[in-house]
Amino acid sequence: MEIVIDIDDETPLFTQLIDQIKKTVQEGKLKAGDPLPSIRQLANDLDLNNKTVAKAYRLLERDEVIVTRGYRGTYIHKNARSNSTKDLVAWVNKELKKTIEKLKASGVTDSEIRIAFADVLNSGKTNK
Amino acid sequence: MTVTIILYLAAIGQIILLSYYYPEKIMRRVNQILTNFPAITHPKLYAVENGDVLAKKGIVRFKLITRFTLYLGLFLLSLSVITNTPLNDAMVTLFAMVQFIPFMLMEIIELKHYKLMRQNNENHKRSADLKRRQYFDYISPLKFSLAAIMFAIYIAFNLYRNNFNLAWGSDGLITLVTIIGVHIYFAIVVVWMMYGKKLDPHKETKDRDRHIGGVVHTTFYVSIAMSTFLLIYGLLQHYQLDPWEPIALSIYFQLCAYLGLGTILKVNSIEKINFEVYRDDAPACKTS
Repeated sequence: MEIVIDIDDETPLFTQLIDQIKKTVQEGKLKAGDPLPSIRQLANDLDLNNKTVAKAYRLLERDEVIVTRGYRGTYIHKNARSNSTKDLVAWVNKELKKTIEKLKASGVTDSEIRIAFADVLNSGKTNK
Repeated sequence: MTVTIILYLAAIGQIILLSYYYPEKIMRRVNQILTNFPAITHPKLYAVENGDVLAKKGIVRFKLITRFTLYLGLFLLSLSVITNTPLNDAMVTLFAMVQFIPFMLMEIIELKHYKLMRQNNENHKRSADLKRRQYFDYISPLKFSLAAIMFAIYIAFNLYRNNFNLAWGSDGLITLVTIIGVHIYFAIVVVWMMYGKKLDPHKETKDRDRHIGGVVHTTFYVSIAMSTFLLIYGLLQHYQLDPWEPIALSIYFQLCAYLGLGTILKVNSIEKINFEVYRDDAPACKTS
């Protein structure tokens, strides 16, 4: 089960990692309950920053492709195969497109949408 | 008289094994690599442009140092025979330390070479195995338990010999701290090998795994040898068999060389390594 990342590719490194792990799961090379390398091991093997691998693992955990069991390490989630086909980014794009089309139909300009979007995002951050 | 003859035989064994046999083996290995995988076809192996020339120079220096230790050992041994001065613990230990210097220098140069390899690695593709490396993938729990039991037996023996009272600065305490320190060092080396940065960026995963296995086994063998030696050495001291002490020491150093250098050379034999990864057009290292 080998993953290859391209450091010159325009796709962010953490996205490459996520895509490759999901692909390995979809191909059945990694099954539910299989252990994954630790963040440190994978980061050192790929000569990447620990934070990059940690980010990829965090997003995979959010998507329920992997599960972290404390000090015992990270494992493949029991529903990983079906969950790895879900594409949250594509869903976000679709939803935003729908909303923006609706706003534009009401006469809102691009810059007003941008400002409002940034305001909503920022207020979300401060509320957290 | 018999003890003296055995001591001289052990000393000759130590001189030949550490200053001739293993250096010759290493030099043959490097020359074989330089001949079969030259810089023109395998540039990634040499890290820098004139890496092969530097390697040849390094081999000459290594030969000079090891030959020096060989002749020094033979000279000191002859002097001991002529002047009828028996070899003692300090002499055997000190000479073994001198004999190990070229190997330590070689190790430092190897690490520097790997660093250069990483710095000059122009491959924009990097690969990794999605398999978690675990200690017991490389060694059986039974073997590990054996080393742990031997270690515990030695600790108990040491404490018993010192009536469970290790005074500050006493030999018992120094030996205890040393053996624990060596085991901590072993643990650090193993963790570094398993989870640390990939030393050679081009090495194939199975070659790297085999090397890690070799390091794990070396630490296991040396740990058992160390505990056993210290037990025997303690018994020799207890029964006041002083003339046997340098013999035990000499045999121990030879055993360490055999288990350390011997194991690493065996697991990393040229026939087992995939040198194709060092070709100019080789892709990112592959997992088999």
